[in-house]
Amino acid sequence: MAGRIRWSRFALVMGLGVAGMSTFGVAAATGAVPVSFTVSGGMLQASGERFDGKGIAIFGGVVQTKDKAYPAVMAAFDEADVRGICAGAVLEGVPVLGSVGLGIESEGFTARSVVVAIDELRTAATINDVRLGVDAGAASGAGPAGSFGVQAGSASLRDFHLNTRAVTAGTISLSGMKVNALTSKLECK
Amino acid sequence: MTQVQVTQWRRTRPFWAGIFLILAAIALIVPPYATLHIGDWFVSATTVGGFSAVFIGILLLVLAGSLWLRPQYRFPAGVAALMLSLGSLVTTNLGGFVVGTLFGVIGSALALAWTD
Repeated sequence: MAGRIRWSRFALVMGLGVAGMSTFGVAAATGAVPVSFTVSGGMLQASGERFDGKGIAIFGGVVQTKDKAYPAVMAAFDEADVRGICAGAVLEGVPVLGSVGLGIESEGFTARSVVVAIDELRTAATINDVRLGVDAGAASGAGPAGSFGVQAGSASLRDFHLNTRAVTAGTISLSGMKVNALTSKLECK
Repeated sequence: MTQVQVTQWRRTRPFWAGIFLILAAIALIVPPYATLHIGDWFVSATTVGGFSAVFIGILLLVLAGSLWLRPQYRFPAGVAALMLSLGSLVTTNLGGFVVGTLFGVIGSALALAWTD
């Protein structure tokens, strides 16, 4: 008594499944469903028109990659609102392809519990309620206790250029995102 | 078991449905504990964390076992596997980087479409 597969029914269920997947996928892409995301290791370059952050803690830190440790300025934000962002990274040593560029352009996004490991930052900034010399362990964001830290209520950056090795975000809500795979390096404005 | 008996065993139950559910479970469980390394980069997209990955992954494994050992309950098992697979898309690493959800949906569809 061998069984068989009724392919018409298989197609029906697959159709339902794919419809469900795209519904959830769109919900995640538009930010209705929170997704947290981490990239680290190589150098990520980003530039944007505006960055507004609330609940800021800044402290010294280290980004640990597979075989190297890099010093970095860690900036933790409770809330961040970024507009007109363009980010690019080159992934070295990809199997088969060698190196691949990854470009992301977005109208903007809001994020909660963001930690950025800053390598270099060029911008015009307005920072409110600054307190220097706060114990990094006591500042909001999980800094190492006992080391120097800076705390600020809010900050606003215009036309920023950022080099970072690691970005972690608790929740990201994106609006209008475009991801490109490139064979050459992405040049953000 | 001889070759003939193995073939006989495969043909009398939704064998491939079970295989796809097991692959889906692996795709869900592994990424939270082994992040994706591309060159010097590592990428991980965690949602509620490793917990839901293990939770959904183990349930999918149990359902795969159910399909093989009790083919007559394939309908409830298939529906449950479909719901879990779709749920994993938002709760578990985007459904194991979509692969887990996709295999889970294929496996469930094969289970529901199987007839003896």
